[in-house]
Amino acid sequence: MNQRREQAGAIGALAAVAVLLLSWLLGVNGIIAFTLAFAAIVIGSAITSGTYVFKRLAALIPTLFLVTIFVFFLQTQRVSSQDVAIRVLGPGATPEAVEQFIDRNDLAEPFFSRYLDWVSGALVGDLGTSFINNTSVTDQVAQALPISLQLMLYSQLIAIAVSVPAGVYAAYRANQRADGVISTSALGLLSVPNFVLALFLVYVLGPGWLDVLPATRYTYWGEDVWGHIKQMIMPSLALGLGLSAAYMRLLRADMVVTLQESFITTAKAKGVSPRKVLWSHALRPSLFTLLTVFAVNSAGLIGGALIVEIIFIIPGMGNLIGTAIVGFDFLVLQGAVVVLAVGFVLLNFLVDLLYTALDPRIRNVRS
Amino acid sequence: MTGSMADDVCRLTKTPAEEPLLSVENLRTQFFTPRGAVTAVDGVSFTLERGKTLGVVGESGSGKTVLSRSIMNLLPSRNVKRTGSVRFDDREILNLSDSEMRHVWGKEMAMVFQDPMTSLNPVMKVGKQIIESLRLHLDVSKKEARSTGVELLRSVNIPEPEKRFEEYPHQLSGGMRQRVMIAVALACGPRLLFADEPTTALDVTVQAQILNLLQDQQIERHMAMILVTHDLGVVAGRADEIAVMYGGRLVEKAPTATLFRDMKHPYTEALLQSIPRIENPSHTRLKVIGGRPPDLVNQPKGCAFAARCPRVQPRCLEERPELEPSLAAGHSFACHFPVESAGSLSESSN
Amino acid sequence: MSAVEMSESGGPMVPQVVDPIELIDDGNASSNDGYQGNQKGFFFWAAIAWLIFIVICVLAADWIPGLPGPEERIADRDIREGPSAAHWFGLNNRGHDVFARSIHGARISMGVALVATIGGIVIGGTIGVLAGFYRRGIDATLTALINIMLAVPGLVLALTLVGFFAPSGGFEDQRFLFFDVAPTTNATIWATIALSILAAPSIARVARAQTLVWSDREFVLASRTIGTRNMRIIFRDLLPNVLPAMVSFALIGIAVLVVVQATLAFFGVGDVTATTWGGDINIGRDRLDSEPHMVLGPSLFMFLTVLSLNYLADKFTQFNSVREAGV
Ligand SMILES: Nc1ncnc2c1ncn2[C@@H]1O[C@H](COP(=O)(O)OP(=O)(O)OP(=O)(O)O)[C@@H](O)[C@H]1O
Ligand SMILES: [Mg+2]
Repeated sequence: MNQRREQAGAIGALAAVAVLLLSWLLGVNGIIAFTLAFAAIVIGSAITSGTYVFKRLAALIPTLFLVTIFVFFLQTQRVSSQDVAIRVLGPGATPEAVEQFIDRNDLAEPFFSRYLDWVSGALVGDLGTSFINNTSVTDQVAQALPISLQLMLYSQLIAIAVSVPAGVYAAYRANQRADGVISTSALGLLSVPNFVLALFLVYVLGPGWLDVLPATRYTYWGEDVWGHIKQMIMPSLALGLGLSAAYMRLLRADMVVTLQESFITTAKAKGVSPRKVLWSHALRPSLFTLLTVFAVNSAGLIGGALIVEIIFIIPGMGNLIGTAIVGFDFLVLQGAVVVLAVGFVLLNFLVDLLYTALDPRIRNVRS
Repeated sequence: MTGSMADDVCRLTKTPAEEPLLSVENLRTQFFTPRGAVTAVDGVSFTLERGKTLGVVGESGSGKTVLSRSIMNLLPSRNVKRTGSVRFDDREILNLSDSEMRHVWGKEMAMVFQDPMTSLNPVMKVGKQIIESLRLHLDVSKKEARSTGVELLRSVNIPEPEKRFEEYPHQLSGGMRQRVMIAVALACGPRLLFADEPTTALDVTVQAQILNLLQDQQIERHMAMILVTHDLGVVAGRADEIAVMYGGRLVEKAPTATLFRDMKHPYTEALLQSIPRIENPSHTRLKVIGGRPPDLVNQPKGCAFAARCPRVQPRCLEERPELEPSLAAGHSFACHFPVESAGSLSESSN
Repeated sequence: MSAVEMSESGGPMVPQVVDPIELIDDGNASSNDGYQGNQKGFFFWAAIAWLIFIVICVLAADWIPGLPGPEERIADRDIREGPSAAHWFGLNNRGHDVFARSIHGARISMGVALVATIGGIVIGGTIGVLAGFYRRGIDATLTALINIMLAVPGLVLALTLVGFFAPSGGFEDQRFLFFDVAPTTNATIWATIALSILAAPSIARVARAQTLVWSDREFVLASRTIGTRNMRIIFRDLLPNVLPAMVSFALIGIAVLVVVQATLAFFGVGDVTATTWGGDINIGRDRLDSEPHMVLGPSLFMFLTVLSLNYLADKFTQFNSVREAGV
């Protein structure tokens, strides 16, 4: 019976990932895909760990409340509605136009009634309308989110593809020359800020030097697969390489400890080859820290994505937020941040599910 | 190359039974540490017949684990030097590389480790850990391996073996885990089993069961065994021969009965006196061996035990006694001034 | 990006007390080829030397003889001359010496990060120690707070704070709390505050974990049983033990904040007129193909600084775990 419950969790997680992947490929509306994935993850975790999930979901409420109220606060306290209007309409706006703008956007209403308005909308999926271009925030987020997720997914894939073999090998050769080379390069890579790495890549791979990759606008998968891949290589590398360095260090440290465990000697004494010892005995118990950090960092990753998206002109969440901040487009900013916070909590669920899959010892603790 | 290895293995199994299964000659293991060279095993020699049990006894730090791992070639390759000779089934194995040893490990020689809590992989199902070596060494299908695995679990007295097969180590008790560990070691029918303090981490009640299990399996499979322990009482009724280790060297070696009847080395005597015995009144204080084990980096010139020996003489500090045969068959010891007659200390049983 | 590095030392650097026999299985503990030995090698001193140099730049860049000022025009045209003996990193689009600007840029780039880290340690340390010491309700509340702060991407938070509170050349507000300040200073102060807030939750987590560990040690329990006041226990028994573990974390914190500060500047948020590494990289970016030297100078300075900090943080963690193992 226990077995079945675990499977539900894992299937939920897989389903969520599959939904998101498929929707990118097929170009399904982002918000629908996101909702479906959300449902899959929550149902999966609910079956696996019961009320625990609902507690975690409940914890999401104060987070969202504080975030939204904070952005609303910024808007009303710090910036007068006049300023907003002038900023949006341009310095030459007539007082009537300003008046009209304030009226149209309900900027004169008291703080709490506006906030309540927004919340009641948000609960049914309406995150408001941008002052600046008059488009629905929900639509904007729905368009930007999959693109950012794409970028993050690619860079996480690169990070894992690079860090796992490097980390495993470095741990295997701990304190020998190969480890020295790998660990030192990781430290170096870790010390290059994303945007510097991005510029470096643009210079080296772009027209400046080798001229192998274009530094063009974002291309949709549906438009031109090859163009999409070519366009995304540099941004994903810029984001992924730094991550891979961090992951590699974590994995190496954990793996060195694991390799000292006596069950590793047991495996060796059975005649298992070193490669199998590393990959099928030592790797799995060494992944826990990596996994936690993976979740914690995905919130940080959006920061990296922000810059990389702006450098490479990718119309994702980063660009959305960046433009919103520069243009004082509060509702967009708020909508984007709320979606990110929800995504972050979801990601933590996902990691919990993976934990259970990785470490059988946890299953019993929870159930 | 793999082919020739397999041939070798076949040839090995056909050697005549008169040859000893294992013969260790002048084995010496050194670790190079920042502090200097640690000589953890120093000139150890012995032979072991097929199907027989050798008990290796000594206090903590005397080099028992290093000895068994040196023989099995399970030490790390870096900063370690082994010299001497280890012949297994008439074949020198001291200088085999890891990839050559892989055909011996698990198949010919296996090891049961001290702590069953840490020597099983916590994230791998018990069954998988058992059949892993089956699949590696013997040409069996998954299904066959599975049924053999379940059989093995049954043979080490695990109730409901089919169910346990699918469980993880944390779901088993300590004693059961050690049984699983034994099943892992026995899987490919090795001809030599090392049991390195297999019961120190277990409850007293479980200890005897595990030791008996080992003994039963050994007899049933006609397997040789090296039983490592710090407790003379453990090997008393189980080993055919006992080797006493001190500071990396063998200080006394004899068939079990001879040793208990007529022990010669003061260290052996001290070890025996540190065993609690039933016939003593319950509050008798155990004799503890005073002093510390010797420093393995800067070894003293004379006898390593001299600093702690109640019978120490000037000669002991100057001249190191060698392991010399005594009058009784198969009995040898390394002491200038042996214990005269320990006959009064009649054989202690568990 | 930033949180990766931050959360790291909270992670796996478990001090290992290794039983000799366990050394058998890996064989690396007694290696003497020195790569991660505990001796202070060349790189250790090189990192220290570089950081001292940077601190000198922060404090005394204006008085370094022969060094052009950040706004001093070497050439009056936009010649973007490449590196030469006289101008190591070349000239930028306004005829300023890139090398000189990199040195002057240390003041704000590094200064903001330093002050913000101290701020972060004060805020985060307080939250963490209180949560770890009082436990129960206080712990639950503060942990919830920490989690909330961690759920918002740090850079977004910083951009929002700085973007709204210190708009570049936007609003007329020249007050910071009760002081009249120039708008640029105002922007820099807000950047510092934003970065402190950004650093606080991660620091709080580490402080909390450390406090939980230490307040279970015998000597703290002993103090409790003889009725020592809580504040006294915190300051006398806990802080001295919790702080050292945070040194390497603080170093990483500075490294991260240097990068975040540069990111803000790169974004053009906050004080755009100041000389900073990030700002200069941003200036150089549009002609990257033809004149990469404008980006190279400040990037190199920032890279070496961050690398030195990360390296020292690693070293400190090692020293600490050795110290711990000796306890
Ligand atoms: N990798 C190593 N490097 C240096 N010295 C080692 C190493 N492994 C073991 N030693 C030393 O070798 C000596 C023998 O250790 P060993 O583990 O064999 O003792 P033991 O008899 O098995 O003790 P116990 O009963 O505690 O298991 C010890 O002094 C130990 O410090
Ligand atoms: Mg041992």
